[in-house]
Amino acid sequence: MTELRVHIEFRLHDGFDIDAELVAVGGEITNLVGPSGSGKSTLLSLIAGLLQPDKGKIELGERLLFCSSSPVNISPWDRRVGLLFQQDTLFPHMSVRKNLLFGATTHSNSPWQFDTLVQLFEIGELLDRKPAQLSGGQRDRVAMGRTLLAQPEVLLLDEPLNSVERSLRESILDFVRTGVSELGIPTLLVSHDSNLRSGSGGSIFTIEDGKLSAIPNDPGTQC
Amino acid sequence: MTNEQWQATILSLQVATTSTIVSFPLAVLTALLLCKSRGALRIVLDTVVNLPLVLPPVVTGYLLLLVFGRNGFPGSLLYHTFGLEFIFDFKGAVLAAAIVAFPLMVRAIRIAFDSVDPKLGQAANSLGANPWKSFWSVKLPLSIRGLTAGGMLAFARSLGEFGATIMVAGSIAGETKTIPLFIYEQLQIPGGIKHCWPVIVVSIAIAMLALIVSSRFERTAEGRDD
Repeated sequence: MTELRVHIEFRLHDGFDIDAELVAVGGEITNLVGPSGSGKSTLLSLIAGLLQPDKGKIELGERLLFCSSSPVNISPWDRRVGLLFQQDTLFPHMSVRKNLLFGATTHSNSPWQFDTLVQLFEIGELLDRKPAQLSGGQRDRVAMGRTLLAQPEVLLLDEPLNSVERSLRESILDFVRTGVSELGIPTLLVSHDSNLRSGSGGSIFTIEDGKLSAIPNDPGTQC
Repeated sequence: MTNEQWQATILSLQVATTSTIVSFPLAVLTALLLCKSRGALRIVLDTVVNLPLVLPPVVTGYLLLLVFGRNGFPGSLLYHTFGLEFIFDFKGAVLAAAIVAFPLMVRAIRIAFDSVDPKLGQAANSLGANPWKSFWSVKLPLSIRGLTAGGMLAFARSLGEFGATIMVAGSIAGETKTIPLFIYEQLQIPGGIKHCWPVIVVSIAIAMLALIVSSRFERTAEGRDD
């Protein structure tokens, strides 16, 4: 099981600071909760390498992704971090198929395979469509599929599947949880949906004004 | 149309096409540099690139004459190393047209690059695409409308180039006498205006065709067929 260990400080130019220390255990879904604007998405961007922390260290198993003292800063494209953005980031000029295959890598032991995923996510009939021809829920499913097919070594999910119908969302998240558990990869989940969090079972961190703290168990309604 | 009118028309198309094709990669690179640069570097680069837009074309032509003439260092170097001569030559007409149209092309391409959502590039990066792959597979295809518009604008501007061309390349029939120079020359001759109308009509037709092609290309890039 690979662990994600994060201990970083980051100062935004408007005076907003992120001060985070967390360990996300491999095979589990670690929940990250907090009010809007508290720094959840910024923290995920820092882990993914899209922003550079001012101080600290990010480690994924034996791999050092960032260290301010060494200094080490692995590029986002070499981190193998699967970041599912809160915003719609499907490539509008590509078909659903091309979006799914962008960054897809072959990993025979992975449960996240193209055919399985297309069937389970109910996107088989959408493969030749452009993102503009999809509904919000369909776009969410394709984005999730694209992230999983890249076979990441850590998964960062920022408000996933918000527009997807409840029963389908549950089956997709079960599929993700099973994969996370089988592959033993650490996963951070940001969600305002308490049902979604309670189903994930892992540890919970709260973030408020950029400060992260661990809480003993899922309060269900806190966010 | 007379032979001279055809000659001026074909030459104009050759100059505009060559200058657009030659300057296009450089305009893409310059637009990228402008997007990435910050502070003083951006101001300097922006000013230099836009200078031909605000300078009188005759001044631009005179400066090109100084720089690319055999007495200028770059001109002398190019002549003695590669045998390239720009003054009173087809290449000079291409150079003048390219320089004058360059800011328009860069501006359109830069706006197109800037309008691509940076989150898409970040998404590509997080999916393992390095900046090169991200540029080719995401940024460039999404900027195709702006790139086409920039190319068409530069082409149209090159077709109408007069001041810098006459300074650098003169007005040599079959070599540098493009449509604007042909019209100017005819207007110096009593009754010459009647020889201008065919090329004026052709100019309008070429400009309209360029706009229709550009518009059609934009629709194709968007996946629309209406």
